[in-house]
Amino acid sequence: MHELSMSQAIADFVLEESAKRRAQSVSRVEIEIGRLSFLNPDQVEFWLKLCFKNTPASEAELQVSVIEAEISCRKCGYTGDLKMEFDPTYHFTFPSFSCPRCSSSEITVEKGRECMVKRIEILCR
Amino acid sequence: MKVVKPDAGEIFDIELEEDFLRRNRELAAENRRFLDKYGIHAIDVMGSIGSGKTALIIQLASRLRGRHKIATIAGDLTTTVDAERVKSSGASVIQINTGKECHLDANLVRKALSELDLAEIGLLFIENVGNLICPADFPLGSHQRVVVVSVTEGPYTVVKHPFIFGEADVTVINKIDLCQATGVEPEELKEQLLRIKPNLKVAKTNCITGEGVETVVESLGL
Repeated sequence: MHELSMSQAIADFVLEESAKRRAQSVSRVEIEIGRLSFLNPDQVEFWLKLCFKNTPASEAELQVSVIEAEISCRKCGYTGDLKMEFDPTYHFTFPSFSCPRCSSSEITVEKGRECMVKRIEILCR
Repeated sequence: MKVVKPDAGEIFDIELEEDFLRRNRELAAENRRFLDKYGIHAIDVMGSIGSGKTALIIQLASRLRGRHKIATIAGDLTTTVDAERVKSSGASVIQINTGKECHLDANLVRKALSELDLAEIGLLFIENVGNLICPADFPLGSHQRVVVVSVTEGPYTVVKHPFIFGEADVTVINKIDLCQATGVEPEELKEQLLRIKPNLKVAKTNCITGEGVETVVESLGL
């Protein structure tokens, strides 16, 4: 939902980091987005392309990948996927914020909330 | 198109691992430490546009002002309408205008905190921008998160937005006086909420008359 402001922040950061290293251009940008964040990877890619227009990153290859959710349970020690429930009334699958093993709600989200610039590839001469 | 390939020595692969949402979470943690230092209990109030967030805060502030020194941070895109309303209940109010942003973030809250006389506050309500989506990505450093959902939003609001309810400590089902007119059964909303988060506390209210607000006070432990 806030893809534009997030993409603008990512673009500024990438351009700053590459300028610091005296890069001539940026050839690749790898982004990771958590499944539980409200960022749509396709929209981030779309906005990033626009944000990079007329910059040293205008030709950069963008890779936006998704990090799946992972939780840990403070009661039973489970780590792994978030429990998903299917509701036949609405034909809708929704996450349940409880442990899939012991049903406790004492869970911590370990992965899935990221919006990360993982790595960039720059060209220097 | 002519493609110029660089020599291998000219390409640099740089690991950055910069997480933009983590930055907010770190700022939120700082806000929390700051609030704790002053002994302030902060509650983030979220919900759709028109769900009754301001009405709930006014009800809570009028009830609790004998017990706590109350302040409110009101987040809104442009106007001070909500801030003026809350002021009438006797709480001190700081308005944050987000301009075009669809949510408050930890940095905006930190700025608002610097405008408040923290030594004079025991209980702080932070009214988020009306939105069930973005605020879930941006914790503010509050101790509790409340979501207000009203029966006028239809029967599907809860199942469509599981993540924000998964973040909540208390959910308030508001406008129960209108459930017949809208055909939405508050008990069904409650069942859906408990499937998303089994330990969620749920209260049913009419924030105009104050019906059910006492349950919210108890659920928040205030």
